[in-house]
Amino acid sequence: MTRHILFFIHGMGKHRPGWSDAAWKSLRDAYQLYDELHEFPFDQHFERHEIVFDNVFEWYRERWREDAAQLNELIGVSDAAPALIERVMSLAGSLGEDRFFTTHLLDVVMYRYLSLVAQPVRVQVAKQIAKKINQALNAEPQPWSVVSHSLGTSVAHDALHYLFAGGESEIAVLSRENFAPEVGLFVANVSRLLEQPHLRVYRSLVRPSWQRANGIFDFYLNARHIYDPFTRIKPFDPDFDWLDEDTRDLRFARYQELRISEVLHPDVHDLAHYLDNPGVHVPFFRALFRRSSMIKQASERRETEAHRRRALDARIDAAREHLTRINDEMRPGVEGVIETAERFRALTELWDVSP
Amino acid sequence: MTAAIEILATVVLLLVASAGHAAEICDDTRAAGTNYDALLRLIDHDCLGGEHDEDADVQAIRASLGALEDVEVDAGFRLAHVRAVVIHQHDVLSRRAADPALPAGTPHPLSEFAAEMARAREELETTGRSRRLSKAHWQIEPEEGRIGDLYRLCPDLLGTACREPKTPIEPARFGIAEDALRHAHLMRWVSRYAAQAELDRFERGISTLHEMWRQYAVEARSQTPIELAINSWRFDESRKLQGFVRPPDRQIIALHPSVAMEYVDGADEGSRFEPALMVEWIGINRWRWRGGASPRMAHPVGVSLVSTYSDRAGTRDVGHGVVLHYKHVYSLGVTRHGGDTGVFVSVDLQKLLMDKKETLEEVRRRFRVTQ
Repeated sequence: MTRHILFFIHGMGKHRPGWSDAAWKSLRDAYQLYDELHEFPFDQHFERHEIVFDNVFEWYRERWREDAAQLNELIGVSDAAPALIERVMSLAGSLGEDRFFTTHLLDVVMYRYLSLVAQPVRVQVAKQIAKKINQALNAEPQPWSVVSHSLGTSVAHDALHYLFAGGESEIAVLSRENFAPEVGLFVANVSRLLEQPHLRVYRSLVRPSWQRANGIFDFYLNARHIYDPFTRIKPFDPDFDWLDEDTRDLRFARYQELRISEVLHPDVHDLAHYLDNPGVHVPFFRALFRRSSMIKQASERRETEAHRRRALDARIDAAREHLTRINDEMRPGVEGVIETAERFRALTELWDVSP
Repeated sequence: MTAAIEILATVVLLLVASAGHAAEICDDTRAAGTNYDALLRLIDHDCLGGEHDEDADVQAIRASLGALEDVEVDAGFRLAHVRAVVIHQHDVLSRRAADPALPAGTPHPLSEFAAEMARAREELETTGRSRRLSKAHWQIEPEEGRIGDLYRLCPDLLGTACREPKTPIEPARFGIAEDALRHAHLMRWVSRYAAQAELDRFERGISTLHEMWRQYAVEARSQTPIELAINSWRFDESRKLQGFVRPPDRQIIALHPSVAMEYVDGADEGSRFEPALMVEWIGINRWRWRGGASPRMAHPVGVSLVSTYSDRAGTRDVGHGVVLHYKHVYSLGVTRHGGDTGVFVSVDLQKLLMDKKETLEEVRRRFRVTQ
C-alpha cells in the first residue's frame, strides 16, 4: 500500500534527527481516538519525513565562531586597532555563541533579511522533498503533504512556491499537475509576517486550487492559537478571492482557519500542543482522507469536550501546584504572612483573567 | 528502432503475469453494501486500481509498471510503454462501456475515458506527451463525487448517492463506478511514470545547486555579518531571487578582520616577525563556477586594501598596503609602516593547520625567520 508522506518542516532553533518525535506521537495518539479511522492503521497509511534546514544557519555561525576564536588570540596585540574593528570582531563573536537569541531568533532574522542565507535554506528543503518523493524510480506515486511550524511555515511557503513556479529558476521546476502536494498544515503561520517583497504570500502558488489551476494544494489548513504571540502580528488571513471561483464552489472547504484556544501547557506555540487539539488534528485527518465525513461530527464533539476538560484540569492542577508552593515557601512571622498574601493575590488575579 | 521498442513495450505489457492475490478487506467492504460509502472505503483500501485490486486488467497494468521499479529506462522505451498502456486501457474501457450500457442521455464514464485515451494516444504520437496524462487530470474527489473535470459520478451516474453515502446504489452502476475509479487511480501512476524524467532532472539540478551553496557558505572566504548583509543586498539587487538560482561568483570584502603573520624588516630585532591584526577595508574575492553536476569554484582570487596592527619596537605599529588572496585562504600582502616595508602571509589557520588547535606562538615558530 502506498503510504502518504508527511513532511515535517521545523521552526527556529536547533533541530536534530528526531525533532518531530513529539509531534508525530501527538498525531498518532490522536488518530487512535477515532473508531472511524481504525480500519486504516496509521502506520500503514502514513509515513513521516523530517525536513531539516537549521544546519544552513550553522554554516555561517560556525565560521563566525572560528574567526572569533582566532581573533581572540590577538587580544592585546595592538592598541592601535580602530574601535570600529573591535566592534566588528565583537559582533561576529557574539553571534556565534549559543544563546536563545543566536540559536533561535537569529534564524528568523537571517532568513528574512539575508538572501544569501534564505536561498540555500529553500534549496535544501526542495532537495530533501525531491529526493524523498523520487526515492523509488518509476514506483507508484505516493501522495505527500506538509506539516510546517513557525519559521517553517515561511520556509515551506517559499520553497514550495519555487518548486512549482518558474520565474528565474536556473533549473526546470516541477509540474504541479503531477507532483504537487495534497495538504498543507501551517501551524503558527508566520509566512505573511516574514514574506519577501518579491514573493507575497497572497499572490503565490501556495494555495489550494481545483485542478491545480493556480495553486499547488488540495487543502490549506491554517492553525492559530489565540494566545500564541507569534501569530498576532500580520496573521495569515486571506480574502475570499484568494481562492479561485471553482475552488470556492467546492463542497469540502479547501482553505480552513483552525482557531484554537485551549491551554494545556504554557508553551502554546509548541507544535505538539497544536496537534493534540481536535480543532487541528480532526480537520487535518479529514483533509488527508479528502472526506469531511471521515470523522463523524459526534466523534469530533466528544474529543473536543474531552480536550477542554483536560485543559480545565491542567489549569486547576497548575493552580494547586502554585498554592502548594506558596504555602511550602511561606516564611515565618508577620513579614512571611504579608509576602504570602501578595503571592496569593497575584495567583488569584491570574486565575481571574485566564480563560 | 522505434518500432522495435514499441513491440518490446507491448510484449512486456501483455506477457507480464498478474500476481494479484485476494484482499479480504475488499471483499468484506463490498459485502457490507453497494453504496457510496463502500466505494470510498474501497478507494482507501487500495481496492480500485490499487495494490489489492484483483481485476485482471488492473493487475496487468500494475505488473508492467511495477516490473520497472528502480529500473533505468530510456525515453524511447518509456514513451512506447506509456503508449502501449494507453492503447490497452482504451480497449478495456471500450469493452466495458458496452456492458452494461447506460440509458440514453446518461454519460457513460468508461466511454468518456476511452475517448480520453484515444486523444492521449494521438497526442503521444504527435508530440511525445499528453496533457491528459497528469495526476490532476484524473484526481479522484470523493467529497465532490468527481473525477477531475472529466466526469461527475454524482449526479450523472450515481444520482444523489454522494450526499447520501449509505443509500444503496444499483449494482450495475456501482460496478461502472468501480471501473471508473480504478481507471482513474491507474492513470495517476501512468501519468507519474510518464513524467519521471522531469523529476529526475529536477532532483539532479537542485542537488547541484545545493552543493554550490554549501561551497559558497563553507569554503569561500568567511564573511562577517556585515559582509553577509552587503553581499545579500547585492544579490537582491541582481534580481536573482525569483526561483532556485546559484550563489554569486564573487564576494565583496569589507571591514574584515583576521590574523596575519607579518615581517617588518625595519623593526627592532625580536619585533620583526609578529602576529598582526589585519583589517581588509575593501576588496573583492571572485571565482568561476565550473564542473556542471560536480560544481567547484575555479581559480578563486581576491584583492583587498588592508591595514595591519601589531605591537612592534622600532617601527610604526600600523601599516597600510594591499593583500592578494588565492583559493580563498592563502594570502600574501605587503604593507608600509612609515618608511619600513612589511610582508605578511595570512591564512585561515584552522584550515591550513587541519583544524589543529595551534597557538600563534607555535605558528610563529613554524615560520621562524632567522633574524
